[in-house]
Amino acid sequence: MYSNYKTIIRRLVITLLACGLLTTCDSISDFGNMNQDPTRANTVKPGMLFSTVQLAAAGTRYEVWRTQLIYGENIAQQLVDAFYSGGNNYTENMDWLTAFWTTAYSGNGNPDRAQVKNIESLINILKQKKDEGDQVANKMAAARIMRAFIYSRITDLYGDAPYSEAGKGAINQEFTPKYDRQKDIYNDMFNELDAAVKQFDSSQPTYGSQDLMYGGEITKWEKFGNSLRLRLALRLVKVNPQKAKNEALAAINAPGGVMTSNEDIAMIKHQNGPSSGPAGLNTNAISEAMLDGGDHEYVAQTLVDWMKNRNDPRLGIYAENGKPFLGFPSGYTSTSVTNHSSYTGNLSDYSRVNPMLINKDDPTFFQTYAEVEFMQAELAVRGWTNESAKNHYDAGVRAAMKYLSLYDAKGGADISDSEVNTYLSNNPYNASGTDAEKIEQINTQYWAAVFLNGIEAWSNWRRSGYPDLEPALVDSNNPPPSNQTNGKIPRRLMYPQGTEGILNAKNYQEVIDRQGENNMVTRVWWDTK
Amino acid sequence: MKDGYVIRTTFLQRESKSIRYLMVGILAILFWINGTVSARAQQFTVSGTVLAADSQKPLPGVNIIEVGTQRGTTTNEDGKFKLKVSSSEASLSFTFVGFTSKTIKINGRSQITVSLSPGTKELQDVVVTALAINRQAKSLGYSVSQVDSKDFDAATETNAANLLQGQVAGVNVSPTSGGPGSSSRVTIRGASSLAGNNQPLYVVDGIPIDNTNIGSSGMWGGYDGGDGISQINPDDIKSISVLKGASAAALYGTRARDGVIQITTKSGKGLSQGTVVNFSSTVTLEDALTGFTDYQNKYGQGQLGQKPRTQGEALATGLDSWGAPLDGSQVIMLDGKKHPYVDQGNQLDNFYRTGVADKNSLSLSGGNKNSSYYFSTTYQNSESIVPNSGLKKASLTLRGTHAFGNLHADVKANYIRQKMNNRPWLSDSPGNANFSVAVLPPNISTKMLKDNYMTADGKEGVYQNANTFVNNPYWVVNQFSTDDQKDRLIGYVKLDYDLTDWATLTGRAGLDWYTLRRTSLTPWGTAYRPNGDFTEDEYRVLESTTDIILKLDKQLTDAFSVQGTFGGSVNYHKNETVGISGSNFKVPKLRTISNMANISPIYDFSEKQINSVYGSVDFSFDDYWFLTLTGRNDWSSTLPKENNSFFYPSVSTSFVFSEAFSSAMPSWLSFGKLRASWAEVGSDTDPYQLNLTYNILSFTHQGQSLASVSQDAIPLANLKPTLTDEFEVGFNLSFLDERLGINFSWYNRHTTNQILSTTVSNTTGFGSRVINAGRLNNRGIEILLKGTPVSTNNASWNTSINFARNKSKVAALAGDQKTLILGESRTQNAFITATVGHPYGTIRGYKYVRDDQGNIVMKNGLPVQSSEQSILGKGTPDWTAGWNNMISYKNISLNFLVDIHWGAQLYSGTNAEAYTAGLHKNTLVGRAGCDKQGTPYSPCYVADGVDVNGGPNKTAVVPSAYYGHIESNITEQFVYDANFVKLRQLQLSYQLPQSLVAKTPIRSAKISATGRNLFYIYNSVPNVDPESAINRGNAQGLELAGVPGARSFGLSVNLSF
Repeated sequence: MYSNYKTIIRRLVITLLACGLLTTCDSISDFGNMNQDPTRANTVKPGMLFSTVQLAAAGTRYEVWRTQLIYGENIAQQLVDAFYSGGNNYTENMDWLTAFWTTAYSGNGNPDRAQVKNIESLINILKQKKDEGDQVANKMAAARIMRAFIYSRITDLYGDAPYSEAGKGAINQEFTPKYDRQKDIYNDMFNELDAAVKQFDSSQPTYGSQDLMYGGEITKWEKFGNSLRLRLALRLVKVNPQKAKNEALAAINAPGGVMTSNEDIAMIKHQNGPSSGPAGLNTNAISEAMLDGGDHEYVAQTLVDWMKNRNDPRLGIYAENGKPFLGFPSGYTSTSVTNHSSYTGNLSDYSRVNPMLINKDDPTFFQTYAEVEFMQAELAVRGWTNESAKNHYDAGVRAAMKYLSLYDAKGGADISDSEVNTYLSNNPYNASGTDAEKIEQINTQYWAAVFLNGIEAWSNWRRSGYPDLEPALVDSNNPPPSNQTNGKIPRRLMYPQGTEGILNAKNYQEVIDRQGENNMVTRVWWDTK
Repeated sequence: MKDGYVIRTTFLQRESKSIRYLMVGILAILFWINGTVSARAQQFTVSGTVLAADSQKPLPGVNIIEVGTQRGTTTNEDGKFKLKVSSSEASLSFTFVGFTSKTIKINGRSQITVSLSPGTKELQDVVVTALAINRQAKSLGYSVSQVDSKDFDAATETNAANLLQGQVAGVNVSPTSGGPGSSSRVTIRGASSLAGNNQPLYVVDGIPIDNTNIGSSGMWGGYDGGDGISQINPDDIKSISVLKGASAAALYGTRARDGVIQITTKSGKGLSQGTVVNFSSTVTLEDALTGFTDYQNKYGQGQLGQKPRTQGEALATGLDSWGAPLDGSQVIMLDGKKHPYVDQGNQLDNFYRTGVADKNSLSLSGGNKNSSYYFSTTYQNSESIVPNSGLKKASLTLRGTHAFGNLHADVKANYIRQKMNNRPWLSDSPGNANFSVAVLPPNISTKMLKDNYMTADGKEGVYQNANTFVNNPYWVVNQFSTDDQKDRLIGYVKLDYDLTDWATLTGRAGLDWYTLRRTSLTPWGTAYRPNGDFTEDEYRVLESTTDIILKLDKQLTDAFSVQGTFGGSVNYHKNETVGISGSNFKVPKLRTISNMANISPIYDFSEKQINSVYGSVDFSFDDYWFLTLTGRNDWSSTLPKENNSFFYPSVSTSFVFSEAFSSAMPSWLSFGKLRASWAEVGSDTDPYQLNLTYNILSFTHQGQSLASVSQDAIPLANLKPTLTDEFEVGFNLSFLDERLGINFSWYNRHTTNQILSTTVSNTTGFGSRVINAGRLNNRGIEILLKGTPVSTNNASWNTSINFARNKSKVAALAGDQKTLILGESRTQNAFITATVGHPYGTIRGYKYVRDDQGNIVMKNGLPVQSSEQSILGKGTPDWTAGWNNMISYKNISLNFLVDIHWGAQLYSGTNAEAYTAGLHKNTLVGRAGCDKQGTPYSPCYVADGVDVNGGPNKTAVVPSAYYGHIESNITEQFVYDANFVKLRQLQLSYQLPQSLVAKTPIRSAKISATGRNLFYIYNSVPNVDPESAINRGNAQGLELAGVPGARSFGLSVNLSF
């Protein structure tokens, strides 16, 4: 190192006397390893990157607040944000609409929050290790499933998106990734999930405890890979029912099968810190937002009334307990709600989210077993399988009630078997209904089961049409400016036009020409009318 | 963590080694040079008298220097002098203001008489050029501007960089809006690079100092951490010399691309009257200069035209001034009590206080023909206009020079301790008291906020619960804390050894070393961070420069002389950060890091080094034609080995035609010179930009270690240096016995191969990438007009006008890239960009859509946002000018400086927020029609405009919806011309007459009253200071909720004994 004055003097003398003036010579141009950052590593263990990717996928306060608490859960009418106008009253706010995009791809300035960047780097490292003869099959397989999960949320939220060329700025010097068609992304995700599940090899090492979801258990990864494939398959029911059927059946019949109990849930367990705040990775992002500044959320009238009508034991777990449940009407704000018929004269009479669900160490759920049961019920209704739709429905409801105990170790969120049974007997599977009625019942339960996962609730609503949501009563009477969708429930989030339109201009223009205007009503490929 | 421990100890070893080697190095130079001293201690004494050629009267105070050395003296009251010189063949130079200088060879005489002729001042001016070489101004082929301490008022300014405001053509100083202790952006001849820091190199007494801005606010808030130059004590400054162009700066190498600001501090040299004691004391009062002049005060807090009816509604609408007309009725407010619904007057005056600053300076200096010393101490206490925020600074300087025969030693140490209390948060709302004040409804009294800022259980007393990120400003100023303390040592040891009467060898080792200890607290109980967070960290910065320089000065014939300077230098810079950040207080309010439930370590390190060799040769023919050639080669550690060497040359020439053809010159022309120069400068970059690395995160999850890609910028393995070339021509003329003068420069500068971190699509996985691309051109003129309209025995008036115009143009970016984003507004609809074909730093954003008649097109009753972004302005002025005046009559002198900036624009986030809040005057339009409504309330404002089908707009909307929509969609509405004419300084001084002080020990006494930034003669931006900037980075042209610009008024007394 050159902080060394003896060397400095020596080099000066050498320079002046030996090298002569104005000529290059080695001694003066060689700085050793001074330009290698001593605080950074040139390579890293794949497991350490994998853990980070999993946490990044669970999200941080910044983008989860915007994507879910402001848009997803509000559009799906699970929650109402009574202050920030976004999904509640169909307002375009570019900052909030694009938060998921920028963070998922690049971390938005904090590389450790980036999902795409780190998963692509991880896969690149694994490829190199494989070339060097390392046994990386299981690591690669789990990484491919995580990768599909990451991109599935991006494309479901935004439509066509950079996929094949994304996240490779440093790997391939790819600076203007093209936007792949959602159709192509889906096809590739199906292929990837298929290949990944088949790639597992019990004779090879896993990430072990670096795998924060399953601790390296291969069978659980197979189940998640297949369950995710089932979710993606059903997204296609409107645009390509045949493909939907083929992929759904392939998923449930693939090695390892789909999730069979709440033990199989894909989730991240959080802890209280130390990494918290806007970029905090340790904490539950929804809780972080609600506890530290974002608490403008009420439970939506749509959900509260639906649960009240069915005497749902989950209501007292979802919503603040101990006083009458009162849902907040979607589309209204804390100001304009004073003109709504439900207004009691006191804002605090509206039900808030139960504090039990928003602790910083509460888990984040990527996919639950209950969802998988409901999807299988739908397969049966559609006649794609010969299984009992009722059995899957009952199992789905039971799982959806039972898994809540994961929120509270002390049992505060436990629902007893008898409560489940009572609920099921009062709200039995509608075996005599039409297929449409059955599908509505199943998917409305699905919606109630993915509380606080607005991305999934909204996506499943878009593909299934259920629950049968009334567009929120929004007009310009509810300031600030709202209803930029002309009374329609939004169908997608928006691309960051301000940056993509400049920095990736050609590809951006191409996708707008192909997919349609960059607004909240343009439908993504699978969301046909 | 064994690995961590090993790394840490290595650094500690390195640290102690460097200090040890520094000492060894200095000693080595001392011994080496000393060894040769005794060999040539040959001396000769000469004495004599200096007379004025016309009157034959003795001239006291004439400077006499032995040519090629630093030995010198001045004549006494009888015009007599005595000087030991190196040999009987030495030459002496005699200089005296208003007389033509003369150089005489002693030729063995021990007694000489010299007569000086009255002459042209322009021919004698000496300025400090690169490497602190004093040169005759007439010989320079490029432009150097020198500002002397008498031209600025050091007493009332806290940041030395701000002393240059309005003083020098082509130097643009923009302070950030953080109050005392905050940084300033200084650009010389515009920004030279697309993405570099574009800040000049600061050199104090020949030693480069660190000017890092540690911490700055951005679009999401934060606070300005101050910079390096702001600590230099303005009272110690003797002169500031600005090397503007590449030629002037070429000898300083890679870091001088953006020009050099050289500060020469005071020393005791040239004093022959024993010890001089100077004492000055200043008290300055400061208050907000700009106010919310265009805020409305007709409507109060509320929504939908309604006053709050319950405490809950009062809390929900604390950020909304969309209530009912202020009618004096009793209304429930945030405290649940009824208060009159009336305007509270100027909320700015209600919140901000009068800042008080006092500063006391004492200096002692003295010397004799062999030695001199200078000692100064200054203590300053500045309270900002923001309550509880302020700066305390103590500075201690010791400098001594001594001649040991042919060896001249010059040693200086400057120790500075600066404590900042509560640096104000700026820009976005969290923790920013200024933001809260800027959106405070007219009827909420600041007293109510103050009385209720803390709840009984010690938490933030929120005044609104609509957005918890907007804090009670009194909670912020009383409970938040962003404190820091900087301890800094700047010093050098310089040894000159006269090898012969025409050759001097200089060894110099300089050091700028500081620690910055910071504490940042978001208190327990803050609404948006209920459990609080707390960070303690310390920066350690070391910058050292070691040079060996050989200077040659040879008069070859009577007409022809050569000066040469050759040297080598090593510059080393190191930055290390150690700290702990914590969140969640275990026990409320106990401010210690072990009380944090979650803690994580902070460690950062970077270092770089530049090795250089350089040389300069100056030819002088007959004292009227001068030619300078320079060359420098730098090797930088930050570039790949194959690209890390870069050479750059410069050539400049000056032709004093008034001397060359003196007989042919008309009598009204006193001085005339033409000059031209060309230079190329290469520059490096920051360390660690060449390869992708991984970051081990400072925390674990469920016991598992975590890692991620480190960089947000895609690295580039084969980086090349950036190249800047500049051509400059100009002339200096003076007329009528120098009563009138003009200096003119034209320059043209291109910067190519830029090392940029250019923003890229986030979908690449990165926010930016490092590239070598782009071309930026800057072309401009600088004019200085000087005049002395009045010059009598008792009265004089010197006036000067400087004018500078810089035109920049982004000629190319990377490949076919058209736009580079430099910064973004909090509203995320205004961008500062470099766009090909346009000036650097354009403001881009969305406009209204208008029909052919210019009517605003509306959809659903709201203005439609243009589908494309347009260029709406630029953040840098077209031209700047300063008008500087010094008028004196007998013992009274008056100085004033008018500063003009023209042609820049500003996107004002504060005005945008005032739209959403319903505070901007413009938001009154459309409300009257809504007043009469009761409940329920329906849309009532039909704005002027046409609907998308071309018919008149008929859709009514709620006014708050209308104006809120404009904030989030229409950038153009908040882009203002940022033109201003400011009375920068007004100073009245009175020098006590000699008759009064003659019988006291006081040698001289002066009293001055100084006003700085007193008022805007013209200002085109409403509600905010046109000079307020979010930070000092390249994204100039954005403003949001800074500390209001302040005017100051100071009174100072200056005594010397």
